[in-house]
Amino acid sequence: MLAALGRPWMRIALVGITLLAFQTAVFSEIRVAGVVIPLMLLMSASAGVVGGVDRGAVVGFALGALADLTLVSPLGLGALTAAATGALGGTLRARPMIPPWWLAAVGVGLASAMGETAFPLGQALLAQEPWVGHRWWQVAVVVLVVNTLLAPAVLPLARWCLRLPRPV
Amino acid sequence: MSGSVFSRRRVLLGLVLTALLLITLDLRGNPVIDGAREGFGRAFQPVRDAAQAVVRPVRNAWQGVFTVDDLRRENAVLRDEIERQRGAAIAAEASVREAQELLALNGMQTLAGLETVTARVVGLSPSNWMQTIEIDQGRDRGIRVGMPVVNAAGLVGKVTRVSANRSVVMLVTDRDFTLAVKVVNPVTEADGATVSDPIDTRTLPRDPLARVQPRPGETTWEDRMIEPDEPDAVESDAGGGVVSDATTSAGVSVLIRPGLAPNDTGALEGQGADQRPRISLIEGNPRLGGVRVGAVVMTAGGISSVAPPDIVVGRVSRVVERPGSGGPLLDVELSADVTALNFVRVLLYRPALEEVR
Repeated sequence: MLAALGRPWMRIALVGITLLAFQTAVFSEIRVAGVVIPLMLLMSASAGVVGGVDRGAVVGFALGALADLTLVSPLGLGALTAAATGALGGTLRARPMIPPWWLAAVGVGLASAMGETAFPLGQALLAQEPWVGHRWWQVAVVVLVVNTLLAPAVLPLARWCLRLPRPV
Repeated sequence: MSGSVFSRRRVLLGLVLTALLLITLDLRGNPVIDGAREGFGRAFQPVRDAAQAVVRPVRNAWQGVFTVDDLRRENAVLRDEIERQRGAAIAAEASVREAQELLALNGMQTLAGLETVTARVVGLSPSNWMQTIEIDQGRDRGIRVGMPVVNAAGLVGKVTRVSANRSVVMLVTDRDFTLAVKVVNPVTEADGATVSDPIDTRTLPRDPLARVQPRPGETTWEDRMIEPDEPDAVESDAGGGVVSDATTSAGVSVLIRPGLAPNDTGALEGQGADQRPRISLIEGNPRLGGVRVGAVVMTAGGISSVAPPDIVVGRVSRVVERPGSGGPLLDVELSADVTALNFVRVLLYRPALEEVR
């Protein structure tokens, strides 16, 4: 059992289920300025920032698919946006190879804000719905700020999941 | 380096294609995906309940810190509101009962007699872009996808996903929500009558086999027969209030208001959390006059509608005129506060068309 925990996929599954439980049970009610903080995107972006584009995209896809199972939106839409979020986090990380912690945190905030706001675009494309209006900006700003603040706590968790060494 | 880039592109392309495949399969309705969702929901439930139990003190503290002042203010406002509405509620109760009896007498579909299931709201939407709630009753209690959900104030939404003992309800404010509704203008003196001053009152006999005699020149009640097994009392589930039998031994007093304001029917569509739902009229009659602010919005019913007729939805809060023949757009202020739901009721209603199938 403990040996299985050494595998990255087991770690990601464990952390993903835990985050999803908190997302659906707690963070759906505790909102910041009326905005739900997307923990799954926070983790996806963090995985991208610490692990690069590939790992970020794959972790994001897995976490997004988990979240999709609890939503009423089409299965795969959340996975697609979370994968894009992880890949975006990885792209931001690729600029300075080992970013300072504050830059990594900003990268996580930026990637998750962009991922969160990409979701209604996907919905609009699939269902041909009208534009979501000013709430789109409100969500983007709140997610950017809050996820930047939360990132320093989640980045080590992402590093643990991917079995990456601490930067020196 | 080029190999790494190639590998990266392959990974990303694979993920995109997989996601698109899943989206396509789910949109077309796939039993495997439905089964996976239900199985995951069942397995995930204990984990979620445990998380809820663990963080309850933190959540209560958060809400205590950030909402206590708002709650105090809201409490004061609500007390005033209750006082104002107490009188109106008594008059409205009588009107509801009379309307239900009239519909029953005419053999028309009413909300009376519809079975309902009361459910507790156990979760809010974990997404910023979907307006849903989760309730603690499901298929085991007879709930099916599409059934309307109400609270004491009016329509709340409709069921969009059901498992054995949980259901997800799409709220009226969700951008995917659509429902046929009718709009009834408020009766004003300009229409020739006022709500508080009914023009005519007549008494219908209680004899179960008696024919109701029309007045000269009227055909409204002609050839209507009261069925022998017609219940004396009509228990209304509309809006959550149970209306007791107040029928007198002499008969049923019915208020008749000539010149009742015209109805329009249209499609109610949710606009998201920060905007009011909107009606785009698809069938209006300009000859009968335009819709006014304050007009009552109720479900229209119909053989294919997921909701029975006459569930209160809200009032028209704004009329947006459009050029051309499209008719106006109507913003609707909902009767039910869908941001603060604790208990709701699911109407176990199936559209007539579905029952035929």
